This record gives sequence, structure tokens and C-alpha cells, in this order.
Amino acid sequence: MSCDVNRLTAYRDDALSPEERAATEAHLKDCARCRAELAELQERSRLIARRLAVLDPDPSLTPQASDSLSHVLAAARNEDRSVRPSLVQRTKGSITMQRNTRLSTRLRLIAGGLAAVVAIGLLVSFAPAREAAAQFLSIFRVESFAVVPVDDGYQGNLDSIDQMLESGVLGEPDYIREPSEPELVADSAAASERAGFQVLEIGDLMEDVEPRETYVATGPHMRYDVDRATAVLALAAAGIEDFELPALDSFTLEVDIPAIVTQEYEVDQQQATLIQAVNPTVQLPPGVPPQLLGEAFLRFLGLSDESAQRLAAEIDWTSTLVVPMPEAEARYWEVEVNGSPALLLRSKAGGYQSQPGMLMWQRDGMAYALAGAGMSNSLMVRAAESLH
Amino acid sequence: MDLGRGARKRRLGVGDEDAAFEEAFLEYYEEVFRLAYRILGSPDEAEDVAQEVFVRLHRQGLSDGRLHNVRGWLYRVATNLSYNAARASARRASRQERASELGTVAPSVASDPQGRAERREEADLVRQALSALTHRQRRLLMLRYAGLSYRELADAVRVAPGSVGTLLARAEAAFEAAYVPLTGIERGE
Repeated sequence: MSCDVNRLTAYRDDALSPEERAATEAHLKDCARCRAELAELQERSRLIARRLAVLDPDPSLTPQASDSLSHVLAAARNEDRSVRPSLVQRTKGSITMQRNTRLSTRLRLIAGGLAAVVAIGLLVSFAPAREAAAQFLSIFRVESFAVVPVDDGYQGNLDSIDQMLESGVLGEPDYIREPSEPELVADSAAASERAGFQVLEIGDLMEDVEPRETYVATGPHMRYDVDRATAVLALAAAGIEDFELPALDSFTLEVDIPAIVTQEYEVDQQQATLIQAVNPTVQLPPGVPPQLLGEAFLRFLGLSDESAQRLAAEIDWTSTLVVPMPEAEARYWEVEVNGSPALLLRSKAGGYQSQPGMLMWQRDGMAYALAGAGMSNSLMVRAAESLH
Repeated sequence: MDLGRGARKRRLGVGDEDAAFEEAFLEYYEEVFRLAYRILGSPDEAEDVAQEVFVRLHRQGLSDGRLHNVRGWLYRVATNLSYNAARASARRASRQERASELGTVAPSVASDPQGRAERREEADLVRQALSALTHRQRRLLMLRYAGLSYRELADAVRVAPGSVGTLLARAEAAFEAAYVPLTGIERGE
């Protein structure tokens, strides 16, 4: 046995199996160098413990567990109620947001495609990309949007990924909590109770606003284990062959979307849909620099590696939702809803008045999307601002 | 499943959820608080984090056996939340303010003002040295100091158990290299 830092440190910290410990001790008897090294390691451990000790709280500052228990239990139970669905059905294991058959085909295409990509975008956007090593993200908070124009090529990529998902080659996520089908509820109050958050409604506008139907769905909480081979496959399907994956054999993605509420309205005799959800919680593994995943995502959208690299470095992945914009199909405006950055997308198809549009924003930890055909930009913004 | 150190093990069945949670809470709450405090330096922020950790534990559930290493899980979540909170604080603070803002000791401690000021300065230096480390190194050191075993460390920081020794050794060396120049002391003091 050579003088191995790994072994000696583990020996110092009493982390070896009995056999390993015996073998190490036998070696130490004969190896002065190892003994010296061990002594240094022990001394260093003492020093560092002494130094770190200044960070300790004074005992008078430490709350007693027995005092805090009931308070925390109450808070915990309050949260749990919001994620336990009363009706759970098994649904197909694909990552989608709310799908609604009442939306026009065009809008559904945009919404569906965008939702799928937004979901993927959510999976790769997260906490401090600026730092060197890996991070976990606990809470994803959108503060602004970055729109990335994409061409038709990306739709082809999406199709290939979709195909691969269907064929099972990419594996299946492990559902910690199944998503449910949207369930019709009586009103916003019922929806609030079911969803566990305060459901807002479009308020009084100059135009006629009638709430029609309200649906509540439980979002998924899932874990997706990706191994290297699968990651390579997925990238290849997107035409990305030369991407340098981090040195991991596998890693785990975790996404949690507690509840999604959909409301159908009639605004000025046109249909409008309001979607509200709690900002999802996304967990990612260490060893994977967020910026790297962001870069892969941008490559997937069809950017060249230079552009992807540059843009990935510019984006603050902690607070930006990256939205791919199929240039041929839609255009966008960056607007504000009550001071929060918002994104308004509109399909290029059809006459101006009938072009479906979608307004997305977030506020106080909630994500919102308002979709409608035949609503002008300013009407959409006013409707969004009227939420109460 | 190991809930407590030593021989205190319980067999859990359906409906034992509350009891399991209570046991884990009473066992680990204070040490989770202490970890958060070391990272954040503020008792209020630390308490917020500690409570959030256990709310999540409750959501996760204990009785279905999914959590094989509760202590490792708690420390992992606590570390993440603490560093997230620290970053959020730092972002809020203006650029002129030093990182030592995070090292404020609450005034309720009834020790001498001189001693308190000195201790705060020392804490500042320690945090400064820690900030020179990579994330994984920083966490390894903090959690090792908190008393986690190698197995728990591997779980909490998500590294292979066999590599903990090497990574920890490197983290320690990096810390000393960062700390010593800050204090101007001789090596080995």
C-alpha cells in the first residue's frame, strides 16, 4: 500500500472498514512517511475544527426542538394538503403543461409546442450558473424572459425527441406524484381549496367578462434518471454530436409542479383561457454546470455552438425563463404586468384580429399564462393586470 | 432505516408517519439549525431555513422507506437552502457591503462587547476563506465539521463514497491555503 491521501484521510476520520483499518495500521508501523503525513492530517483537522468553531451559534440562540415542533408540523400539514389530489389517474409519462381541447388548433400547437419546450427550458434553467462548481436548485423563480428565435429546424428536433420518448428509448421518469387530468370544479373558491393556493380571476374590464369553467389538475412530481448513454442519444437526436458531456455516468433530474388551475372565460365574445400554477421546483444534480446544460438546450434549439456558448454565458439562468420563438410562426413583445416582466406571443397565422396570443408572467411565486384568440395585446395586458 | 444515532431504530408501518416525523424532528432540528446558522450567521434566517427543511421532510414522507439516510438528506437540503438564502441576501445587499454582513452575531448574547467584536471578525475571516473554495469543498468542510460520517457526506454532497477522503483532504488544504494569508499567522498556529 502506498502513501495514499484518500486512505489516510479516511483512516484519520475513522471511515474505513475493519479490514482496511487493520491493513492501514499494519502499513503505518513500517512507513515513517505515512506516519508523518497522518500526523499532519490530524493536526490540520484540529486546526480547521477550531477555526470553524467561531461560526457556531451561542447556545442561547439555538431554538429548542420541542418548542418548535408544533409550529413546523402545522406549516408542514398546510403544505401537504395542497399536493394530495383526491382523484389521481395514471396518465402518459410525458412532460406537458395543461392541455385544453377548447383552444383553437393553431393556439394549441403554439401552446403545446411552447409548453413542451418551456418545460424543457424549466428543466435547465436554475440557480447560480455564475459559480464554478455544481449547484442544486431548490426554487426556480422567473424574473425575466429571454426569447431565442428559432427556425423550423427545432420543430424537427422536438419531433425526434417526442418519437424517442414514445419509443421508450429515453426511459421513463419516476413519478413521485402522478399528474392528474384536469378536473372540473364549481368555482374559484373550490379551485383554491383543491389547488392549495389562492386562485385569481380576471376582474372587471370595460368589455364583458364571463367566467365559464374552472379546472384543477395536480401537476407531476417526478424524478428522471439520465444515464450517459441516454444523454448521448438525446443529443444525437437533436443533431448535436460534438457536445462535451460532464464526466458523470448518470444523473437525476427532479421536477415538482404542485397544482395547475385552468379557467375558461368569454371576453368580448371571444374565448380566453387563464392558467395559473405555483412556480415549479426543480432539482438538479451537482457536477453539472447549469450553464453547460443551458448551452445544450440552446444548441437543441438550433443555435450554432458559438452562439449557444455566448448566449449561455450571458443569460442569468437563476431567474430567466428561456423561451424559444419559432420566428416563422410567431412574434413576441416584452411587456409588463403590474410591474412584472411579461412575455406576449402571438401567432403569425390568420388575420390580426383572430391571431391567437399568449401572455406569460409570474408574480409572488406563481406562474400565469393567458391565452386567447381575438384579444388585442392591450386587452390581454389589461386582463392580466385585473387579476384578483 | 436509521433514524437516530446508536441503537434507536423503529419499525415503521403505515400510519406511523407522524411519529416518525416527530422523532426525526426532535433528533435533528437543532443540529440543522446550527448548520444553517454557521452558513448564514443570522438566527432568524437560520430558523427559517431549518423549518423549511423539515416542512420538506414532512412532504417527502418517512414511512415508505424511500429515505434511506435521513440525516444525509436533511443536511443536503439544509445546505442547499442555506446557501440559496445566503446568495439571496448577498444579492439584496449593495455591492459596497462586505460579505461579512452575513456574519452578524445576534446582540442577545450577553458576553463582553470586545469579545463579541473579535469573534465576529474571526467569523468574517473564516467565511471569507470558505468563499474561496469551490462549492463542493465548502460543503464538505461544513458538513464534516458538523459531524457527518463519510457515508452521510457522500449522500449529502452527492459524491462517490470512496472519493470522500481525497475530496475532503483537498478541501482542507484549500481552506488552510485561503485562511492563513488572511490572518498573517505562521503556518501551524
